[in-house]
Amino acid sequence: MPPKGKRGHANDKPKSGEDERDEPLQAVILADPFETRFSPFTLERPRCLLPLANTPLIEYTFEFLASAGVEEVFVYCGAHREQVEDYINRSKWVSRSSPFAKLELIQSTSNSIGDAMRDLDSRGLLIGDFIMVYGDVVSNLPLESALAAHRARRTKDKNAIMTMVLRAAGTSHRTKARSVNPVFVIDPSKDRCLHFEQMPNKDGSNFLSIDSELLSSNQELDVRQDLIDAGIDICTPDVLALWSDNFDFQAPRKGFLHSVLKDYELNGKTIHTHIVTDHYAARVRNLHAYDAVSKDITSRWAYPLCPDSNLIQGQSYRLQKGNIYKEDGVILARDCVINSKTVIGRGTSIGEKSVISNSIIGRNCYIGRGVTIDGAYIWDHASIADGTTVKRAIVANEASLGKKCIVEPGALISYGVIIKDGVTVRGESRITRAKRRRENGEDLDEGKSDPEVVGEGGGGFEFHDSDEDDEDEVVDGLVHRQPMYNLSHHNLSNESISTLNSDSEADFQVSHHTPSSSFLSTTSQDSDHAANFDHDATGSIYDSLVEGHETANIQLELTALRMSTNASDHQVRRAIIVSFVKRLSQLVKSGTSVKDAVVQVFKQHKDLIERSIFDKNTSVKSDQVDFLLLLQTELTHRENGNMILVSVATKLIELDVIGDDGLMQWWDSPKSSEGEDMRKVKEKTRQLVDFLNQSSEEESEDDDEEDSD
Amino acid sequence: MPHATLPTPGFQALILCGPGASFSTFTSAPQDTPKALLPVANRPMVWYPLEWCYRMGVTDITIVTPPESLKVIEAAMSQNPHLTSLPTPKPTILAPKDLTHEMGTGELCRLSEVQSAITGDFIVLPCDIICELDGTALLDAWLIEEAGLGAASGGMRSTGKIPLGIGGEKLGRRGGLGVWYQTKGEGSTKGEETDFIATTPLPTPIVPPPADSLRLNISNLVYSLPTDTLNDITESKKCLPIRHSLIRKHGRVKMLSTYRDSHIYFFPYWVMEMIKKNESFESVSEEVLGWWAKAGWQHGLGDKLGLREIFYGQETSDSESGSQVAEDEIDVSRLSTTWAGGEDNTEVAPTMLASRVANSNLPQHAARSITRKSNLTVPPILAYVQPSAANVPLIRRVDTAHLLLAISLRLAKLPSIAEVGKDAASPFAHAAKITHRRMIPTKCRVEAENSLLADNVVVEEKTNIKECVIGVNCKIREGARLLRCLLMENVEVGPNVQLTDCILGRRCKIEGGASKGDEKTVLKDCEVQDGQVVEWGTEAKNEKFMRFALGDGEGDDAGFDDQVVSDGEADEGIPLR
Repeated sequence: MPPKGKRGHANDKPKSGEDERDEPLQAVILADPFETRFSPFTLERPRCLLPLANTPLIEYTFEFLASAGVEEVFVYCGAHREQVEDYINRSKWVSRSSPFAKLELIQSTSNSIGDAMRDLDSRGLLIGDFIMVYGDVVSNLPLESALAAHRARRTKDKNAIMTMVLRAAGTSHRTKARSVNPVFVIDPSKDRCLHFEQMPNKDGSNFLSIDSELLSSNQELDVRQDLIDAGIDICTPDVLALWSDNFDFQAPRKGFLHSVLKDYELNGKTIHTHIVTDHYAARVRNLHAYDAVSKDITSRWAYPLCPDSNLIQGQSYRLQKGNIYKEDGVILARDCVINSKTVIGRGTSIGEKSVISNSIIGRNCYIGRGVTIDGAYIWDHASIADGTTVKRAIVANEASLGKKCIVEPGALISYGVIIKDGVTVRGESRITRAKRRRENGEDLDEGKSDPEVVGEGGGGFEFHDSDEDDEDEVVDGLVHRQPMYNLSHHNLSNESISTLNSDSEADFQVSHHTPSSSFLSTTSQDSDHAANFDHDATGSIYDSLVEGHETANIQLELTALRMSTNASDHQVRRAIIVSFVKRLSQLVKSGTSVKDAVVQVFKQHKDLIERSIFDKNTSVKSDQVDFLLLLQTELTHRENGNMILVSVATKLIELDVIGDDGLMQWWDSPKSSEGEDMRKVKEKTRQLVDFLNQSSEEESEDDDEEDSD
Repeated sequence: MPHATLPTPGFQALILCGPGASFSTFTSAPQDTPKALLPVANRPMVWYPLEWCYRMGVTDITIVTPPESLKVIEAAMSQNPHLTSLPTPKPTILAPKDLTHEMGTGELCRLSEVQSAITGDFIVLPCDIICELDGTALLDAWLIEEAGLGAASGGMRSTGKIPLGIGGEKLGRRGGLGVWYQTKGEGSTKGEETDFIATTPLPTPIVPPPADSLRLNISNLVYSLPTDTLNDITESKKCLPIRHSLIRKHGRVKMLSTYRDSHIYFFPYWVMEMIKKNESFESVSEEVLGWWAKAGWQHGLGDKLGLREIFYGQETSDSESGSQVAEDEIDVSRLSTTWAGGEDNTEVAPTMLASRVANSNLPQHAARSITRKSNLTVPPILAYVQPSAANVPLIRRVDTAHLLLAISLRLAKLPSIAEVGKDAASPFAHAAKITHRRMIPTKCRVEAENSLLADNVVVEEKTNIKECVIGVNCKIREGARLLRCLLMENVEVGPNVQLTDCILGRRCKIEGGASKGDEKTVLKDCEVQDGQVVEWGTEAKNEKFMRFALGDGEGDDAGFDDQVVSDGEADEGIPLR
């Protein structure tokens, strides 16, 4: 069916159809988005195999691709590859009747999507246009029109490299991302995406910045925040090439998309959008989405992707009144109550007077008497004993809850956890038995149980993940946590209201980061690779000085090092000072006079210093002051530090690397007289400062006199 | 008038007669020729907004003008045949004594004379608006989207002030409506002023509007800036910062940069109070609209603009007139079965439970009490953004000489009533293209389909008139060639003069001469001030002939509109004989 549609399209556009007929439509599934949003569950199982409405997530993705007419599928695995492989090999998708002509698993050691894309590019598997999705897409939208639009654009313009399929939703839609909102700026006349930003953004400002060029070159712009981005992209191999060209891209949207759009002038590539207003598309990107999509599926919004379609072999769900789905072989006590929007798998038994509503219960679960389950997700083989209440929580496989427990909304109870009788599981707790991700063939590394959490004799402990804290974005939990102030009134807390009398519209200030002057302690934002920079750069400059390399070569090396570690200018200056002073004192020790040594080191490599100071034309010479402070600090623990400081400072002024203003500002800066050592070193330079104060005009004549000091 | 029998729509119109700063050639003496009386296709400019008001059934019209122009406007109202032919009642002419030509429109609205003249919902119009679009359609749209519930309106009555609130202000009804038109595309002139606006679509109504309704193009205005201000911002910031709160509140924001504010505003009465309260509002189009649009999504801005006091504050003082007011607490909109209602005020209690980041000790009640207290709904300002299709009705502001010429010529192309009949003709069509056909000699060429010749125009033989608008009592002498020219009243064009793309002021004279000889007069893209005499033998391009400033315009705009000029030359190969 789908190939036929494609051929029909090819007939419509014979020109474009020429080469497409031969190429099968390919798709890449990123089965592991390299995130920890589903931990602790993803410690033991891959994300794409987590059950959504009792069907593994990846099944929905396969269904979607099959209905889109995809013929070749590449599944890009991260963690738990053997589980994914095992699952796929037993699934219908590798059978003879599978709609896919080819289904291949790719294993790699990548640990970000960026790496995965670059890896894909190097493999060269993808020849024509391909569809890129995540292993957690749930969608029933037909891709024919999007593909046709993409191809039509492609034939017109080779630079239209990507089409994002987006679903329009209202301002508030339960399936939309909550805490981080993507904002697309689109030129509606060409369906071209011009700008992408996430809200809230990295630098924490409350503004979306739209480039003035976009405004002047486009008559009409749509700023859309009402789109559900299910991560369905129609790409050309050029996309992969772009990933490879830019080794620092990590995330597909805020990294790749944002940068490619920003550098349009550079690369000339355009990215387009295809916005659909009907059908269903969503990504189970986090627990909140898990909840929302589950509800959508039971409410049949994603039809035909719903439990009674029985996507996997052996399922036998039947729809009953009120969106209740039951498989064969469910044992219900006579007076238990099953409310609407509930899914119950085979072999599950529910005891007397239990009330189940809005919940999804897996196979072979045991639900005792008088249990209340509302809005919860109970996976296979879980058991819940009498009198327990579970609300809006996830209870994973083989977990068991004791009698009269209370599980508060938002709690996550992972595989095999045993909660003893009468324990209350708090809403924010995540209880697991696995300490860290299970590696190949390795046994489960079980942590020590915490009786405070699971009760005496239970199994499991509160989960902590060090990785998570690094993530820069807030992740939506299962239960949406209302921010301190209602979102619509967000500006109360951190946005100023426009001031009435201000001329300009926005009144926001960029707080300038002033480089910290004390170099002994690495500033907090210098992460560890930045510390490497200090070490490497100092070493390399020093070596070059000893071996007498040319300034330009040192500069080149330094720049490369700075780029690769993203070091700050302050760090560059520090590296220069440290290595210069080291060389200087070495020369002095070996018998050269201070003056000669200074000339040898500083005059020869004057360019190097100049290129690290960028405030020649500003009135506040913060860079120069910083430079001198670094120098001063470095000299505090050197022999003859005060002498060296005077001659270096004089030389620098003579060479016009440091201006008079810069020296004065350094002299006056409080940091230069902090501590006994600093003052001592500085004192000797007073004559230079006094001298400069007296006569700035005649300085050139008197410099020689100073030098002889 | 077809609408004369309709009941009045309850609006009063305020026509602001500004100084015409960009017409310096023709409006240098506002006591004689104010901008409002400049002829656009042989009718005084102010005729167009007046006619527009009468056409939509608004008869309570106030013309606001500085005192110095009062006399001449009054005279014109009683003498000019076009103005006297308008239906009754005649507009009131208001000349507040403190009003100067430099005053901003916001300040103007705060003048006590203007304040007392406004007694209810009102329409603000500039005197230079040419709007072919039927105002009734706009009014219709406003009534459906924004009219007070149960026909309630605001304003003053003999008994005192009608209290606000019963019309639905607190629920976000009774907002305003503005009109924007496309400046690019067909019929555009270069360098026309534009405004930058951002709009969001209105919620889809339960009953879809009919296909020809303007409501399909009506959206909610959320941001409005003149392009100059926008450029200042983008220059200083290198980008346009858009607040996240806007994007959060409105998922779909459309930004338009080539449209222009027509300055037609439908305002409910409370807007007057808002202008009164905010002394810093200098102009209606920039400040009032800009801040109002922002108040719709910037939380707390409505309070800052004093809207809470306007909507809620004066309840106690209104108690005298309480007899006509139903219980204030009755929410009329809830009684309606067809109106979906503004925002749903039922607040869902925030669930404070979570799975991941432990931060649950939020001051929940404090947060809620803040939101509860500051829940002020600002009625929206709607924007009718005219779609850019081929045959949309003309909406234009005529505020530069260039536009004056272009619009006059465009109006001249409209088929006359004599040609197509009364019903099919445009409201701006003249009775006949050439008032006295018989006065045109046979041995000349006048293109009637794109020209307008008024009363008492003398055209001599061998003249060639193409795409021209010629005012009353003009004389075109033998052998003159006129292409795309606008001639005001009593202009005399001498023999063998060639004029292209020129605007000639009242009583000016272009001297002629012999057809054979070295000298000739050729004017292109020129403006000639009232009463000026241009001597024979003048060849000029892009010049303004003014008192004291003759020839100063040279090089001013050199190279301006080269295209037009070359087009003109190409068209000129018409045989004279």
